[in-house]
Amino acid sequence: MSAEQPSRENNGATTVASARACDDAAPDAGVRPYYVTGGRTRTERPLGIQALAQQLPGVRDAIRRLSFECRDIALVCSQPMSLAEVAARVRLPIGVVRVLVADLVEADVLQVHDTPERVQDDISLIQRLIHGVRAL
Amino acid sequence: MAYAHSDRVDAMPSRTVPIPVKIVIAGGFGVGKTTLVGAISEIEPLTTEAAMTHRSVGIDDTSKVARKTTTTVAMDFGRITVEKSLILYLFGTPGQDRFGFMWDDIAGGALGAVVLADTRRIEDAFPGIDYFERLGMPFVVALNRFDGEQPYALDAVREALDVASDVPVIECDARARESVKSVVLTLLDVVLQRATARARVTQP
Repeated sequence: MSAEQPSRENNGATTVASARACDDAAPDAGVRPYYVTGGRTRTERPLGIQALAQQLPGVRDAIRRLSFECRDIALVCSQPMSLAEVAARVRLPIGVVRVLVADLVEADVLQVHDTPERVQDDISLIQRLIHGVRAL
Repeated sequence: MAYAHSDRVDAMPSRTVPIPVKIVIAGGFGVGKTTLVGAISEIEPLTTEAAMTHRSVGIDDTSKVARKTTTTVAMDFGRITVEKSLILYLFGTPGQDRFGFMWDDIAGGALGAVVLADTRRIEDAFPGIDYFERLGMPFVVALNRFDGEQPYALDAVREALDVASDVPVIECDARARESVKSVVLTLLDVVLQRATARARVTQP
């Protein structure tokens, strides 16, 4: 599916921006986040705009040490929050948020849940959706 | 709630993050996508801006849409918490041609789509229909009734749209929660039928 191609908005510029944004996060680390991320995400496919990010437990100190943009993102994710919601709330483009969230996952600040692959074949999940929407 | 499973011994000592799924709401500029999302979303529809230089190709054509005064800048979306562990997102496609490049991002991994149409400008529905047919993604066509104005019979509209016989073409009122619910349920039924049919093929 064409959606698995690299996003056209996820370009080099956002990667550079993320490197700068997260530099403060680990000033002593031997490897700069830019080289760790290198424009890639951890997964084979890029995170979906609906992927849910949430803080891991016990990261308050770590969040305090993050750069401004990353701290904003991490704080918004005290509840499960989709990348699209994060982008809307911190007023950053979704392509930038996608990279920064991947960085924050790498830094053990956030965890992310994306839509499972082959979700369209998950009959019991589809039935749960139907029951849930019907009950609204 | 964050530690709902802390009594269990999990490999990960972390909180349980819900599973996100999404459906796409497509349709022409001013057809009522934001209204539809807002009618069922538990949050006010949010807007996320596109990142970069605009491709100023398409220009909003509001001449035929008298009451549409605000422009949807990029994509907007809503959220429905189906269960604590299952969240359904509705993502509207941008109503402007110059944001067409965002469609793959919006549609990637979606369960299905709703193409919202206005019979006064039925041709605005064609890009969405073409796109989801090409992806092989389940979709329904929902005709938004504007104050009861819907001068064409459903059969005539179906013929004009030229969609496959298993694609539902239904009427809706994008402002009304129950009506929007029934659109979403119609789509989920198609999604379920397809999944069931595939399961039968692979497990005879």
